[in-house]
Amino acid sequence: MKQLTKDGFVKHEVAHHFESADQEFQTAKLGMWLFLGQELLFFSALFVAYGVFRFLYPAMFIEAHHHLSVNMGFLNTIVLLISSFTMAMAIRSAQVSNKKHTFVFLLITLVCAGMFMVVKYMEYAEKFHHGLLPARWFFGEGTSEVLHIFFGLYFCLTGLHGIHVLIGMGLIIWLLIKTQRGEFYSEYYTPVEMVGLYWHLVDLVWIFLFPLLYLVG
Amino acid sequence: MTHVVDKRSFYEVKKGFMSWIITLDHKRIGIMYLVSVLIGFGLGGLFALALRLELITPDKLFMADKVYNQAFTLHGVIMVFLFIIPSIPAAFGNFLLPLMLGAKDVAFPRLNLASFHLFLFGALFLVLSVFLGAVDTGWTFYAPYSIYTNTSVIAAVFGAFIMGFSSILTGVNFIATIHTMRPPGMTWFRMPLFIWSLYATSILQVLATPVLAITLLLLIAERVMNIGIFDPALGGDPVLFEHFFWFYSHPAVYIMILPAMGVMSELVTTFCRRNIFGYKYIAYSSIGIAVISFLVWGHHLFVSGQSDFAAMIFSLLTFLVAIPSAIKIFNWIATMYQGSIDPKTPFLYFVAFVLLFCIGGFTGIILGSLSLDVNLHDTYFVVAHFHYTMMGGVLMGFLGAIHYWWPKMFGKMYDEFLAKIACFLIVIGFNVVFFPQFLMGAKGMPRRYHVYDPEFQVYHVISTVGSWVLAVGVILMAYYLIQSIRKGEKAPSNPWGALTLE
Amino acid sequence: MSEHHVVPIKTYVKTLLTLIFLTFVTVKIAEFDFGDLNVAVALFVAMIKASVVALFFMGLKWDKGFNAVILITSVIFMSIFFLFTLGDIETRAQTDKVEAMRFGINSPVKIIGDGHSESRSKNH
Repeated sequence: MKQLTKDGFVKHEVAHHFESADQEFQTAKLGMWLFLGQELLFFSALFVAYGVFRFLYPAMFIEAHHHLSVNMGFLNTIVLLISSFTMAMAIRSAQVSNKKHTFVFLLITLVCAGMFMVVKYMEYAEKFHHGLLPARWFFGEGTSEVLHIFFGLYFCLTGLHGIHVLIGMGLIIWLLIKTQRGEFYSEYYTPVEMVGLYWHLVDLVWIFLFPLLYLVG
Repeated sequence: MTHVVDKRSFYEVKKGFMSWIITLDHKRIGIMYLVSVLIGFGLGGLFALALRLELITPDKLFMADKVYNQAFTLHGVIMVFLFIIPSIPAAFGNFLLPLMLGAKDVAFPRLNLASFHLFLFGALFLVLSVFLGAVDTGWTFYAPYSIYTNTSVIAAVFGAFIMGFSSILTGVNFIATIHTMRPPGMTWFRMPLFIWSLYATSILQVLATPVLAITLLLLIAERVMNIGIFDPALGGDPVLFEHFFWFYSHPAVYIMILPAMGVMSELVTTFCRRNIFGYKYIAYSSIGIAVISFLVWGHHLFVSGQSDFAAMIFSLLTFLVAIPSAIKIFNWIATMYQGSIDPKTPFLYFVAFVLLFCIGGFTGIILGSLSLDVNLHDTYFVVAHFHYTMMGGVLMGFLGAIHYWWPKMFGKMYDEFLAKIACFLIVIGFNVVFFPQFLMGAKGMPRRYHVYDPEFQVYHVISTVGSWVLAVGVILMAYYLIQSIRKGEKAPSNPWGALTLE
Repeated sequence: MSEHHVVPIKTYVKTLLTLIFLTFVTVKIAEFDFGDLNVAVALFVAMIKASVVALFFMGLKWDKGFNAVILITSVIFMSIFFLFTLGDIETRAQTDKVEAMRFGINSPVKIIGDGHSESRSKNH
């Protein structure tokens, strides 16, 4: 039977191999940062590939980016920034044991993530319609004969980023359930903090993707 | 040495298959890794024996060209991903890291178990790929051939991708453990050197392995939807694949060798009854190797169409690796000086390591120099070089570690006399296999061919005979190790008089 | 864990407003042509935005130093990866030229053509 605190939260038990809750929290955070470092390197190869082909085919990149809608990209950037803000607010609410606010902010984050995916879906649908796809299915029209490389990269970059967003959404739903059960309060909010860090990283990647893909000058 | 008590319990506290497969105990996870990598080593070894047998005649003996290609690919993939990379860090690291630190467990025990499950899952895909039409690209999966071959590249690559994550998560776990789980009094510079080497290894695992993951993912994307970045027919650049691949795989060879060097630092102190000479320098040199290893990957691309400028820079930086490696070797030798040396089996493996790794290292410098590499690239010289470092280095480290920590892990002693014989057989067999390969490589015998000019047959025959000696040594070792579990003497708690906490 | 830093709401709001402002800057700045520096300028603004996210939303400003070290190390290794690979690609045209001129080698996998031009895609 789980113990409850006097405010009605589920009391957190420190795992047996840690000395204190603080040690447990700092360790988890360190681990998460290492994981984020790993994520950055994971995306780096795609950015290197972007740099290489941008160098090799500058004219093609300029032509290709006209097929992307700056407005859509801009909208998605703002949506993600707001979701990052609400995520930070959710962590803060958990820190001050405000269960209701934690839940609401997490929910807004989830809605923003959903919006991001809807916009992404619309963009993808448009590309599919015009045949601006990786080489196997490419039937788009353009003056450059290597246009498919841009879209190959585009789908890899945004696709991987999209998968990260979907994973993030799953994690936020998990947090919502746990918040509802009253598991997060001022003395234990490690999972919220961890998912928060992950979510900000997803935002970070998009901050780079937006100018590189949509605003090639 | 209070751990003996709970070591007895960790085998006996729970029984049955499930108690192992869902355990969170780092010692059990370590043992499971050990069993898995030994199976991997056995499999890879069988392929190696088959390859050597095929090469005994200049013409086809029993393998067709395609089968031969698949066999050497499987030998490479299995040895690299199933054996060498997880061998010391995952098996011995998991078992020993918390014990040596004085922590109760690794930082994230559940994550630790998850890495092991991922490892098994990835291995499953590799096995699956064998039945779906074994890969014939070589373990490097070079594009564009890997995009077009009709073997099961996707399954194999996906397996390696998953195992990559297993490796990353282990690295994350170890770094977090070393940073936050040290008890008071265990300062950075009081940690055993094996821990330092694990720390450097973990940095590499966290920073380099994700690049392999994305590279393999891009290769899958290339096969599924022709994104075109590695495919020259679509305007892509196959050399880019090699850049991506070696950005991981060069640091990966240090993921392999660094823990072995850590083991060596432990062995030399224990069996010479002296404190290690130059502790801090060895510790720093581990980190130094880790950092430099990221700057040299281009030396695999000297003849691949990389620019002269890049090749020059990479060649220059490659020589830097020699410095921290030499620091380690000199310090070990200095530790032996005036020590009271006790030549037990683990120490013999230490001597073998230093000897063979020096040969491997020096030939590495030869290959790192641009003008020589143009001639020696893709010959047996390269094969011999990396077997001297990988097998002469890592395998000797691994075997040294097995013999050193066997009493600790299984609580039984093995037959010292048979162990020494096996050690001699393995080291002699190894040299007979690979030394002739330097000679024929220098004379121009290219690697990865199953038929060759009869001029080289004499070297190949010597090499193949050596592989049998080596196999006898390994089988002998398997025999006495199994015997020791069945009816070996009980080991004392500290059989070697070691000074570290475990 | 009551000793953990609780950031005032105002800080988060200011951070969000800064980020939205910088997004406008990103879009506006792309309309100017800086020649070869276009990517550099875009990356510079993105870097500022990323630092703001890392410092405030991710809390590095109040965090233990080592977490920042991890982030910076990752970025350094990303740059190594980027610079060395680009260093090869950018100088490869020169190598191809020398090979063709002096040794008459015309490698079939010569992708780079003349660096910036798109000659290859046209005669392909």
